[in-house]
Amino acid sequence: MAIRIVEQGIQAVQNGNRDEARRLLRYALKEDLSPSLRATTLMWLAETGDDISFKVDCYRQAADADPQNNDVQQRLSYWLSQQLPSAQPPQGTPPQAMPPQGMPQAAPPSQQNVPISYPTQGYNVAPPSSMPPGALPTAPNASQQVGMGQNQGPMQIQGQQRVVGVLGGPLGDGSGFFVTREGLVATTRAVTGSQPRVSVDLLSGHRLVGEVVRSFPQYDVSLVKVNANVEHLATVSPSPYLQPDAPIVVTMHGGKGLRSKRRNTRSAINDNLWFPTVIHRNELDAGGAPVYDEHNLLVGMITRNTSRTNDYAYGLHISQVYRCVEQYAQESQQVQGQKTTTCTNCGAISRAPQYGAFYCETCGSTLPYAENVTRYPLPNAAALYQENMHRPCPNCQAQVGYYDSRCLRCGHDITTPAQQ
Amino acid sequence: MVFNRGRGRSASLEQHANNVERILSSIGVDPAQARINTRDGYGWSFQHGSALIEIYIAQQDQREYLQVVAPIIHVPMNNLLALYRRLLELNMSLTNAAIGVYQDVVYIFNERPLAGLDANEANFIISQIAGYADDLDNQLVNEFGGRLYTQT
Ligand SMILES: [Zn+2]
Ligand SMILES: [Zn+2]
Repeated sequence: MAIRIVEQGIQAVQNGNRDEARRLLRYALKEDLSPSLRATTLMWLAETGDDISFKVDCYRQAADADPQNNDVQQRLSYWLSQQLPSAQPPQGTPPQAMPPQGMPQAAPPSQQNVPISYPTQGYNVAPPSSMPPGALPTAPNASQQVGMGQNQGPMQIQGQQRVVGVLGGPLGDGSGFFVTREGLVATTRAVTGSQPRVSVDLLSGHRLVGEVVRSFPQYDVSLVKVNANVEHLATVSPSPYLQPDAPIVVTMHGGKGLRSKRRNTRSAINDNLWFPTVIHRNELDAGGAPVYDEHNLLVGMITRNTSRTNDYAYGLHISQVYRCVEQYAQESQQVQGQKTTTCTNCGAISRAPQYGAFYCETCGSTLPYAENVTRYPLPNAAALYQENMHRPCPNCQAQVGYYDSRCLRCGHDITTPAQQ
Repeated sequence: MVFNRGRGRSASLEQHANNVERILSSIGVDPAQARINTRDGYGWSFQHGSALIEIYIAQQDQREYLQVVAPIIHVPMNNLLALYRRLLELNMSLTNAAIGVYQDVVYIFNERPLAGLDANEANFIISQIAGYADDLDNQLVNEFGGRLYTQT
């Protein structure tokens, strides 16, 4: 049956076996398929190749087969826009398509994971979209941006880069600074919002595409990756915390510098995370600028957070910024070789793409690539959501786990005997 | 306070129950058929379109409330995080209605003071809750599993 072959093809895509997937899907397309199944099959076929004209061809055929399918139309127009010749080489190359990390065209996953089985209705599920969620790139922007183009190596950034601009976020222009030589920029979560990408402006005027790879909303930190090698990082202060009344300089993108000092407050609440300043919020850009001490050492990052009683902005100690960087590095290592994406809602790295699943395992929100597809229960995703590793609830038998000794499904308190 | 289910019959409650029955009749529901046994309050249950509607009278701080409640699905055995999140997101998007979970069942409900309630308004509330229930029940089961409340 054609549907079975399509399912096998989808599974092969998910397993990273693209040649086999292509063979199966093409075979299925020779059969008499319904318009929507034909379109879906072609969408999955598009995932078996990296070549843009191949993808465009697949989506064109899919659009012919099922003109009502908006998902197809969106993907077609996105990949068509990617086909446009770059306007002004060499400094102007289009932004990289930047598939969310590990979408189907990424490297085949290590085979240690549970293979995805598709229920019978699974055939009408489109593959996760490999185009950037949200806005399509606009041509003028595209021609100015120094891309992370696939044929282009990382940009070499020489000299001191005390601050970078982080643009295009919901609060307007903000600042940031490099925290690794591999082009990782720290800024605030408020600056990036829930956007998957932003623009990063260098002192030289170059503009790079920045991918928001991890956010820590609880610390107001976002980490943004640009395709660059950074020769000089700012020297970080060896002292993890700022002393009261210590002089500081906040260096914002665009050249504005603010001299100020750490506010002397009696309360030491959260002292290892935040330090108070005497900078008013309206003196700042959207946030994320580096804070230097009198010896020009990096001591923190300014944010637009204030206390409830006044308008003075708080900074985040540089030690906490680097704890976030380290956590991100560790997590990236743990998921190496797996298909992942960054959840735009909570900022965590999600392994849902590895399972063909639709929701972030940290916050439960629907991931951007799954927003416009038909979603259905995936039994194999229980492992991703850790819903199959708990002892069954004595009351409802669910294995979804417990919080504060209560079953997450029925609320039964496992410290009390079940009522018969 | 939902599912308080009108503990303790009082004279004024009885009066309100009569009012509710009058309102139900006026919108085409036979109150005698719809009456359900609650432990010590008043309740009615009937079909509105494809949705099951339950109505209760509840009392809180000397004030009586009309509760219009539609059970929609049994909570599934998996996908809880995503389901709970979706329910909270939906909760923000509904007008004049709320979503809740009670004893493993997802409900859509509305509560308002009984004083001043007329048949028009009661009818509007019931139709609105039934409409939401209709829109959401299959959608949630298809996406997250579980089972429709009206399905045994
Ligand atoms: Zn999330
Ligand atoms: Zn339970």
